[in-house]
Amino acid sequence: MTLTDVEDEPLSAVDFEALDRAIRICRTQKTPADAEQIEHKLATELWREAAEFASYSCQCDALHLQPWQDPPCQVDDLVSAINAGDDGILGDYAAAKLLQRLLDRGLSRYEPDPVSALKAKRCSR
Amino acid sequence: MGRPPHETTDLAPFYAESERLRPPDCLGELQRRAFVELVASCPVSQFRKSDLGLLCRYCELQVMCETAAFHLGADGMVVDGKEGPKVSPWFAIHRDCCRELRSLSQRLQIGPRGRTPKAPKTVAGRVSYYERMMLEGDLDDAN
Repeated sequence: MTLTDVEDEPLSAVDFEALDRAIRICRTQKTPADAEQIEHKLATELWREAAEFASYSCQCDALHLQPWQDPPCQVDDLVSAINAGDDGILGDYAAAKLLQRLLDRGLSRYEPDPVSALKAKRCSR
Repeated sequence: MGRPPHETTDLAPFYAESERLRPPDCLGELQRRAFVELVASCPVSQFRKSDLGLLCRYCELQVMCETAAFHLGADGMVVDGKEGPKVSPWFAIHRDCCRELRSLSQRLQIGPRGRTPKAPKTVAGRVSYYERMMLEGDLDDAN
């Protein structure tokens, strides 16, 4: 799945807020190079593409993913990924499981820090 | 003065399954959490399957110790007995658990002694959240 595969799908308010937050994090809480990169993307690409990139970047950092592992925001087909089972290496199954938890709790797939968001949701209940 | 000892970082090789020990099913929820925390914060090479028993005992002791500490904080170190105030029974439990923890930590090379100049110089790498999910059993089919 590419970052723009879901571009045609309308953004929910939850997704929009999460993407906006991801951009803010890239701008203010990462290295100056990251801030410069997101500014460049915002200036040269569609807002959604830049925002999805920001979310991807934030999730990779927050989850300490290995270079070959995709974050939850990159899961294209949730059902297929879960039915395929865990291969123990690529992390697609774990990403799908995490995405499922996010969606079950009404959170966005673009949540910059999925684990903290899930914890916060659990505490607020 | 000799050459300073080198330090290597514990990295997961590409396309390799996790070699970290998983908590056995016999552990309770709190002990499992302690187990995952410990295993995830040490280099992969630190523990072998034969260490599983010691690791489990260490985690059980850790939970016992924290339980005792909680009760000491909540009820106080001195409680009312039949013959007047006495030291809380939790105090002895806490002390014994700490003693056993110290002993096991030396066997498992955990803690300050494991970081002495002669100790192996492998620094624990960051554990991906997916690996942590696997260690916690979150990826098992039943979940």
